[in-house]
Amino acid sequence: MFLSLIASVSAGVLPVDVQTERLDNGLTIYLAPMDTPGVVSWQVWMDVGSRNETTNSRGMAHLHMYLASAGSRSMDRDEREQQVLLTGATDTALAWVDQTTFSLDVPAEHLPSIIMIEANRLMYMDYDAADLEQTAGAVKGAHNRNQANTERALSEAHMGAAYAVHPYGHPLLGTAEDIDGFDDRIDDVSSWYKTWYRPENARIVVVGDFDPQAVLTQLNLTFGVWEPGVEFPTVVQEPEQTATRRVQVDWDKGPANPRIAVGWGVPGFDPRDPDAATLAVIEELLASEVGPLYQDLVVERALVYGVSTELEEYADMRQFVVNAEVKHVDDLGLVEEAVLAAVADLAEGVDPETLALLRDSALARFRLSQDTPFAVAQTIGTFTYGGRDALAVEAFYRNYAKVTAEDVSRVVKEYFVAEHMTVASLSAKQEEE
Amino acid sequence: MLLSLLLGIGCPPKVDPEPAVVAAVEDPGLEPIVLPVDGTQIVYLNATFHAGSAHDPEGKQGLAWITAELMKTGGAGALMPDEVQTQLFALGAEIEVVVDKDLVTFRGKALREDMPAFLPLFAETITSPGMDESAFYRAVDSAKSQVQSGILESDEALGDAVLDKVLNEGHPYWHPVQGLPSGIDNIAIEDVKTFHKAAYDQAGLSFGLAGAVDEPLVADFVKAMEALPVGEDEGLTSAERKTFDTRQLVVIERNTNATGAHFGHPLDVTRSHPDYPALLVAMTAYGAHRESYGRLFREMRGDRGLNYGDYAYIEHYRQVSVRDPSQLLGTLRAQPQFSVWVRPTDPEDAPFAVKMAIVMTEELVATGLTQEEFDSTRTHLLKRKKLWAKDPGRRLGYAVEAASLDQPNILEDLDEALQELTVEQVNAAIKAHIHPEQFQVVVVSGDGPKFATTILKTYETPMTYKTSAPNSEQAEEDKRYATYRFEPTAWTIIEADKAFD
Repeated sequence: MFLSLIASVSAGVLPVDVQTERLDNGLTIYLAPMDTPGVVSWQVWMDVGSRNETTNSRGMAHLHMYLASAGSRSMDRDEREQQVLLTGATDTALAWVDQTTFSLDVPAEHLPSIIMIEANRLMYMDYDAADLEQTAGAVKGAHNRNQANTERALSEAHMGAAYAVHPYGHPLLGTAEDIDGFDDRIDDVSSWYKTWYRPENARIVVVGDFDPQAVLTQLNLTFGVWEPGVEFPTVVQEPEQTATRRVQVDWDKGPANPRIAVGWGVPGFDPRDPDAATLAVIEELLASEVGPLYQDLVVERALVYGVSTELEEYADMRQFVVNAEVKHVDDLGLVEEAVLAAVADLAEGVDPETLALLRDSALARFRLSQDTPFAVAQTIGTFTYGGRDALAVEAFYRNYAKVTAEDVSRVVKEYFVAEHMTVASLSAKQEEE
Repeated sequence: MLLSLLLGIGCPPKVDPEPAVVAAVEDPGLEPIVLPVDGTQIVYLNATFHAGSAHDPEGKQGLAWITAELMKTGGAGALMPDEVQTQLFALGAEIEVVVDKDLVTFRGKALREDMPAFLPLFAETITSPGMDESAFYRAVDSAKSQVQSGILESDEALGDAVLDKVLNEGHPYWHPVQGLPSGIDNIAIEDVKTFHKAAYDQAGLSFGLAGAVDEPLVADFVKAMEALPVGEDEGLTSAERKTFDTRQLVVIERNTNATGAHFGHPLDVTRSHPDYPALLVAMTAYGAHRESYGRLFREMRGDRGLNYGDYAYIEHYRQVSVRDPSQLLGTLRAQPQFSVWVRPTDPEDAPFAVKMAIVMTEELVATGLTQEEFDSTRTHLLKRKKLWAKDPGRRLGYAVEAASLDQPNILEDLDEALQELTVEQVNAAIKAHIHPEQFQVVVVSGDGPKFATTILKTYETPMTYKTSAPNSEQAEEDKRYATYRFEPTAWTIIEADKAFD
């Protein structure tokens, strides 16, 4: 057998057992039967995203999410469309900073056909200049749509300032110029595909109603022949930030509610690191409706429409961001002060009852959210970047359940410092009198 | 009281004003829809009312939305808002509210073992909301924020909301569900209390539970909802929509880099109509939401790269979230519309894109689906249906929504109709119900006069191919689209901030 069992996890926080396997070519497979009669979630997680881009290849990871639908050597776009249509499967894809995910929810009897179709397009992606131009046009459409969104504009500005060197700082889709330039760069685009679409960089997650042995056998026969490549290019890492950075977006597309994002650089996501769990608890403490920051800004002083936090599972280095949609532009400073005060309070200590309430609540919410094969497959995919075994999910939540007020205080003091802070704000450009 | 666990049964009681039966009949009381599922510990609750924004009084647009929001956030029974939040947090549970034109849906989800604590919170949120005053002001602010950042600041949402306004002029569907700034400012907390009293009663309720349910839980849920007054059903709006004989173009101008469009007309085919399955097949083949196999998508985005996507609908469509394109349950309407959505294109290509979508729709009406398109789409739908209800909560959502609108539950009732359908019936239904001459076209553009002048006055409005030339067949089609005469009987340009004046 050309595969090795990495681990088998029994149900803990996840409602399923997960079997982790690795094919000889380096491809990692996660199989989790779940009692969802007739339905399977099939997901391929390619560990490539804007993280792997340089200024010369901005937007290429996202572009390939689209190009994957252009067809393959033996199955053109229309044929693939038709075959997927006949299975009744949903067909979605998502490009993000570290991963590009191809997800299909499939009526169980059609899983074998979907495995064939997906192996074909990911291993033998094939596009010509016309496909590239049409695809770039669609990307431009998505870019144009995003340009009209204040939340996204603020987030892009914030990330651009927070990551001075790391590719996380550039826009996921690339700039308008990058997108317009794709048409003339078919060789570069194609070389990008060959570099990153390889079995060592791929993870397959299957959750739902299927026979694991049959699926393993088929995966070995299909994805097993995918050739591994040579070493991957390295990613430039961000040097340590030494002073607070600030950026302001003057919104010139009409009236807009002011917004502010206050962020701090924190280590990349490692689910087994106890600090990752502590940071997730801090997220709850800062954004929850029963927490002091929400009560102050939304309920008592009513300065903002809402406050939220963002702590994505970026691999190399993350930003812990507190976002607020502010009612009056003059209050942006007050809101920033309130966020800083709330963080300072956390360093002083947390009421153990509040901590226990928020921690247990988040655990219960997580359990309640894992009620579809898609949701479970997303969790497994998110926690197993780089081919980690699925035990990482359990490890994270074991740590999470043990986070103490002392942990919170220590982590806040270590990471939430002025030197590592980036503040972005957005407000409508004032008309000149 | 009927407490046995029955699949898919349950409608709101119908009140007969003049009972013909003389003998005393025991009042059947409230009958929930009960969908038990083995192997889960989770319980899903759903309570839906005829309390949507179509019930907003004139000058108080936003009242239905604010009422539902305040019910969710303003405390429940004897509990203050923060106490409700704390208790929900302790359970990790959440109460979700969906407000649309006709319906307001409260959904809850919690572990079976937590139901003794969760059920009273869920029920009292509906039956005896706290209506806390400071929560009221937050709900008002929240409505304004949703109108501003959710609609006015978004090209695509604005186009969709303006199409609603144009198609429903003089009809209670005309304004955004969250209200209008002018209407929201006129709403007092007393209005909210009055609205709650009138719209939330047993007569207007459809409800149910799914997942790890058992008889005692069903009984508890029924008893809790019996705290609602019996009341009189507010019903669904009976107002009739305007009919359109001719085309109209409305251009909304705002500072944007791209140009997108929505067009359509009111439709008389609900899920109860015999032609619904035929139109469902037709629209799935022509432009299923966020799917790449639709004709519109394949030809506009796939072959030409005009934009991010192009879709067609026989029901107003709200998706669950950015990452989940499934239909948000609770947003089905009693009076549907046909519409096409052309997502933003480069401004230079926009006249071509709008004309192309109109011509393609005219051709769909003229020639219909091919036998092959029909066969594959029907096969697809029969299989895809299994995925519509991803969890017991969605299965329950379909059933309750259908009961509330008194329409068939398409999860249960569609298969047979699809099996019996023929391509001729589909094409006849398209001809009978889609009327291109009635299209009301709404375009959001950064340069309204330029867009309007180009599409109305320029003989040929080609799209630009940057490097590759189209093949001869596509070039011929392009010529047809580019030289199409789009001649609405009326057109207007409105600044975005005056879109709802």
